[in-house]
Amino acid sequence: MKTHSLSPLSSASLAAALFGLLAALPACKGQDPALLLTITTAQGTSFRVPQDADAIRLDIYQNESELVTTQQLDLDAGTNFPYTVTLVETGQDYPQLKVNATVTLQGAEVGYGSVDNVAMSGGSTVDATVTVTAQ
Amino acid sequence: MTSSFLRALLASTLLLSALAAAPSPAADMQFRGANQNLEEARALVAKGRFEEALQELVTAEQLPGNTNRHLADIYALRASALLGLGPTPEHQQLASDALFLLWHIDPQGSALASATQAAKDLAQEVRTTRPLVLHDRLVTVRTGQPIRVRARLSSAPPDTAIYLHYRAEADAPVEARDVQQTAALVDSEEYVRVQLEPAGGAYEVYLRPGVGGVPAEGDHVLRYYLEALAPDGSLLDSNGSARQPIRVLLSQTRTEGAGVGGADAVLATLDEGGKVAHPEPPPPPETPIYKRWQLWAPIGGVVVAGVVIGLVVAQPRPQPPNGSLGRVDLP
Repeated sequence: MKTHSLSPLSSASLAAALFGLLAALPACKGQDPALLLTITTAQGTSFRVPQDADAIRLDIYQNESELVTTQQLDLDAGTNFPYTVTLVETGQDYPQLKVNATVTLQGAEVGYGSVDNVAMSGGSTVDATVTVTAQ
Repeated sequence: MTSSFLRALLASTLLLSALAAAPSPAADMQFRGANQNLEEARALVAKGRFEEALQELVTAEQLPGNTNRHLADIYALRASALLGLGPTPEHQQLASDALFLLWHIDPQGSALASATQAAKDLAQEVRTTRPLVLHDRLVTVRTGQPIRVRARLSSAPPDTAIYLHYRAEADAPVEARDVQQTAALVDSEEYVRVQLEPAGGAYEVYLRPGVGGVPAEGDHVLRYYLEALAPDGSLLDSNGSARQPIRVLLSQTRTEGAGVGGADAVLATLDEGGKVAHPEPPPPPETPIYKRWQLWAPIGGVVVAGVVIGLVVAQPRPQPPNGSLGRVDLP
């Protein structure tokens, strides 16, 4: 039986196509849905760290009332608002998030802000801002 | 060993040799290997152990599937062994009979190369004193082409005529062929007889496909023999006979061959123009399954696809940038 073999040119073309395909693989895979949350202060409000504030607590809800997680984020001395934090969806979908941000000083609430109706989008990072006012 | 025992031994072997002198083409094709008894006899003759050689030759001749070449060697060695036992008249006669058979199947005397000088000398004497029909026996012939039957005469009187007697029948299994052969023995008149014409110091005739019962296609067995008749009609010699014809296979696929080389030899000049009848090249051997691209192409495709899928799955997903306070993974 006649044997079939690729010419060197055909083999090179095939190899180039294969490597091109492999190079494009990462692009085929989108990132996890994410939210870049900016925590800023309302006009006329300021917190000095650590004299006025030393941590921010985030209470994250799904559909307004289902608590997803609570996170305590310590603030480094000498840093200032605004801060940013990235929320990444690694498990189930969260089509409607609500984030409450509470600024604390040694556990006592000194500021509060909230943002609602935030939807994450697959393959990209959406931005949201929560403005904290002093209490 | 007594002379009477020798006579009985050789008479029986000569009878068997006559029966085996026209081996079937199928047997010819089946038995291509060395005849071990023949080789043993050859070695014994070389050592001068002639009685043992004769016994080996009896066994060698009885083996089925002997080719014309084997038989010619057997006759040459038998004559050598007989003459080696001593030049008695009885041995001379038996050796002459063996060499007479040899000339019928080996007109070139190529088998004499392994014979003793005494046997060679006697062979020449037989050839020059006894009328002989010398003929390269056909073994296999391509169906559909003219069949040239060619013969020469040795030591025959002038005006001797050579006649070809032949009959064709469909190739059949061995058992059926035996039955047909028996029928042929009963009714030898079913042979078609044609006279060979003088042609350049020899005699020849062409059997044309579709004429005179010669098959034009398919596989057949052609049985034939040649007779040399003196002008008065008396039989001078016969190469083959009605009872023991030469058998040739007419085949559309097998390689043509004739003479002591049988189908191993390329048969020249079967065409009327003297062209060599080139056998068709055998079909190429079938490619093993593990060498076929039809097998490896799908496997290769599956492997490549698996590799691609594996790489896709193994690739880490791109990560979003972390904020100044870091990252919080939502469960």
